[in-house]
Amino acid sequence: MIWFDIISGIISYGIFLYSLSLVIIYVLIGIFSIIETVRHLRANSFTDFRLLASSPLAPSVSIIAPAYNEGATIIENVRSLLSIYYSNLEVIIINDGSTDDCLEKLVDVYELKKVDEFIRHAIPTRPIRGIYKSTNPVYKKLVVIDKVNGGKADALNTGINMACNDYIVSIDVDCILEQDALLKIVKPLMDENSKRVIASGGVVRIANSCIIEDGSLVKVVLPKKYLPRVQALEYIRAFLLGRMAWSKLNGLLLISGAFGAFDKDLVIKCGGYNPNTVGEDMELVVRMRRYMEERKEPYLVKYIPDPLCWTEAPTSFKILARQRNRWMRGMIETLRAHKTMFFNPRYGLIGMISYPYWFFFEMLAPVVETFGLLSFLIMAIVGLVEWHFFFSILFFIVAFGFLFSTFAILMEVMSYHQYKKRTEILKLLLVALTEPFVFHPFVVWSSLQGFVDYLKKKKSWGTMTREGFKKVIVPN
Amino acid sequence: MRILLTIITCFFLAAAFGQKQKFIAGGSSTDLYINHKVASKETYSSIGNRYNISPQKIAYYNNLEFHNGKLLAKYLKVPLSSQNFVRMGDTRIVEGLTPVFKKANGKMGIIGYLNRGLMQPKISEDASREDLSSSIKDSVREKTTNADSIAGPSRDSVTMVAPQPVVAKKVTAVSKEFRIDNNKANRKRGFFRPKEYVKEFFSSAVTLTVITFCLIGLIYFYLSVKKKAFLSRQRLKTHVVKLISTAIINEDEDQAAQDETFELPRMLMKQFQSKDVRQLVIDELIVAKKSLRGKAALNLVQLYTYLGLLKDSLEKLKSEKWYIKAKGIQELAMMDQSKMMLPIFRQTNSKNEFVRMEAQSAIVHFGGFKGLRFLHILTYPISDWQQIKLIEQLSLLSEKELPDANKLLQSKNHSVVIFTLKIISVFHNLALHDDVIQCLHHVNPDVRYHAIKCLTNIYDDTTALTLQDVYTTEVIRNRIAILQTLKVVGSTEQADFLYLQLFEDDDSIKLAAASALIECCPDALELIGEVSSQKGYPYTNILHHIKEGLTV
Repeated sequence: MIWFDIISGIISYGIFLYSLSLVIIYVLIGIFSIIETVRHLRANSFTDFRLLASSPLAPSVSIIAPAYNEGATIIENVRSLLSIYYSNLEVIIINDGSTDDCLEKLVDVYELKKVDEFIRHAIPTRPIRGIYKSTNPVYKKLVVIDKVNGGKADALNTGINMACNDYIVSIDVDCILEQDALLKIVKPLMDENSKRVIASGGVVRIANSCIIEDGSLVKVVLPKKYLPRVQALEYIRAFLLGRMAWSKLNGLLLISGAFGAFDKDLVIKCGGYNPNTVGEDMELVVRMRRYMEERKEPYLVKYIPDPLCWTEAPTSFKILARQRNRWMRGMIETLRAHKTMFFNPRYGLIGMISYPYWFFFEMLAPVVETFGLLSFLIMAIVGLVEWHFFFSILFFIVAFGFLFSTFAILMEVMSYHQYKKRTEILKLLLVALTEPFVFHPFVVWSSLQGFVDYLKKKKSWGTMTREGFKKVIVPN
Repeated sequence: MRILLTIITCFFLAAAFGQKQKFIAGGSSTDLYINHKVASKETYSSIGNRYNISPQKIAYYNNLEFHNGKLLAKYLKVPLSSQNFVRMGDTRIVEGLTPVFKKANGKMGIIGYLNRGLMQPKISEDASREDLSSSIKDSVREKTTNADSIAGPSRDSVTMVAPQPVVAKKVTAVSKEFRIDNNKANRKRGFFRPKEYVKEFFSSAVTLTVITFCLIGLIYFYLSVKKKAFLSRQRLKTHVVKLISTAIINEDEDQAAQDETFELPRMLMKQFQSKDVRQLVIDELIVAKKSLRGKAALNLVQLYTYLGLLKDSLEKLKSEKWYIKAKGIQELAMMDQSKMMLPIFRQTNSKNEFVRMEAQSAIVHFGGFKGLRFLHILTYPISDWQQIKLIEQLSLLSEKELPDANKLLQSKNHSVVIFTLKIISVFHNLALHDDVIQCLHHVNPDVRYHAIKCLTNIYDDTTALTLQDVYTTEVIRNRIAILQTLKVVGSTEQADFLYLQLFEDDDSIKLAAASALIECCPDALELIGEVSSQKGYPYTNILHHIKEGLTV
């Protein structure tokens, strides 16, 4: 009995400290996020991003967009990328062994011709079948690489090998970029002289139901379906609060794979994207940070709260489950690959705060949460705790979650205010109320499956089918 | 986020499981007692207080003399009476009481519940009123006689052997007040046990909900205010734009006629005291001024001073807040207030980067290349972004020479050296060739890189050879830069040197050397072709690449 008491005591008070730490972290996240967002908005009022577009002194950038079976949308997406106004730019599309007519369409529409370009093999990749460039000078910025299928990370590495410019911007080819997205993501790379800015990222938003014309976002609309809508709220919370706060601390471990800029030289030194993980975006950032920490070189990972990139969210539970399963596996793989950083003072803030945070409060979250809820429910059923206590806690949980979501919506309204209609704000608030009962349990379940799949050593990405954007001509 | 809350519940569970302290009674059924292990600092009073019995009774029961000091005995028998003990089967059993066990026939069983007397249990419906009244009387009598001891020592010592409340299986109706009081009492006695905080959790949840609804109210209030402000701004903007348009096309030289032109429309006049309205006018003036030159631009500056907006900008310049100060500097610069150059110049080395940047831009706006004298005193780095911004401003000027550039190239601030090299490169200041060459030996590889790049635009006959000399001591990035520069500045003299670089390990160097060789040597294609046929990859690919480039 004494042992039982000791163990239960350790668990009780251990978890109490855990909860307390998390409360403090969330409060700090809120505070840092406000400070950083306000500072960014004020600083932005002095910035004329257009300067960069035409300046010959602007950093040279290579956009790298892997495409796999994107035949349905590839022409429009590439057109969108080519329409970006930036003088020192090349656009590299990697056809990662598509089985559809993706390459043929590109060749036809953009008048491509196979060329004998030399490509460095700074990072090992799967074989390249051919490099294509346009015979039409209008598309001189475009390079298409056709290669044997090797996954997203391998395709990105091929693009890095091909890239001629100083910075690479990795992007999901089906994403819709804001007109000035590239200018905004590049500027943070130029803001510092005393520290090397190794990567820069921005806010990704949900594009479902938005009106898209010729690969450009015409009108922002809150998703009409439940799942994308709740993900819109989830993204606002994650990007506007969490990542802004970590950016303030220079503790960010993740730049979204959908749109992120990196120092090419450093990426190559670090060995490029890891093709053996499904969370290649996070893994690269962690590896780059680790590299800099080990060499004691001052560096920064920058993040801006501006909405830069719009992506299509899963609309079915099946696809969502695959996505969350993959995210969890990617996170576990990354954290495991860099376990030496765990509470290691050699890695500074990353080792002592960022990594442990991700380990305890992101990776272990679904497990602890499920254990907590289930045992609590069972105890209520068998009478070990009373139902009024159970419901008080449940009420507290829902109230806390709702408060946090409402705070995120307030931040969104006061900063970038993308959803203009009041009814849209109301719908977001309503979705915040239902989230704990519908969306969240499903996401937790999918993450748990990710855990199980990781233990089974499952490596697949899972097919990500998309509905495609709404193409509506806006009436005048 | 909800993980946090679930974890809290998990903690509650663990805490609920951790309640295992047992009271085991000794003695006969008519003379029951509990053996209490005396903890350090415990007194009769604290023990009595804990077991809801007078401390004198404990002393008397143990044949000891009562005193208020430290106890010497290691164990004390605490008697169980009707005051502090509810027997099994008694209808007064309530939730929250601690069970007392007794061993009988080799088996341990509950014989009743310890009533610590901090509350009076509510009697179930079938309980007799007499029992209750006698119980209360007993309790009151006991407490009155031992009032001192009850109010006495602290209960801290109890934590050592703190008994935990266990949910009684045989619970009848329980009053809410009773539960709450019981919880409060127990909380004072020891560990934090979340189960006892039901009310607090509920009220916290209610508070959170109230805060949430306040935030929702704030969202809609903000939206409403924002919309109202937007509409009002739009209305005012129409008048401001009209005023500015009139000012732009004004050709009058006569002061009186000008004043008449600059007269505020009535609509604006009424609201011109408002800071927001004045700011709106300043913002619109700046937008218009950005695209104007000559007389039209001058008219806008005159309108700005006529309306007294200069005062607003000066106030901002004095502000302690960086974003207001920077805004003030920006306004003064845009409105050509060069008489404010001195106070603005002082801000060119401000510790705030935004104030510093705006001040530097303003000084360059006022003084052109001469304005760059702030570079001599600059102790902070000048960011790449700011460098682009300043060069953009300088490119609009007719003059193209940077005064004291050679001194700036020796600055201890490396970013100043890099910026100077960029200016020399962009404006082709050939006279500074030798000074730039000196930078090839700079300690900072970034400075050397920019010096190499700069030489592409200001080279002479000696440049190629100098670059060739420093090549071997350079880092990879700078070597590639040298090869790229040699592509422009090199001649047949560099052919041998470039040919050797084809055999470097780094593929980028091979490619850069081959590209330069093609420009410097007429037989380069044959040379690379030979290497390609001898060594194969990657030279074959490099050869194709070069040929492809020549075709294009």
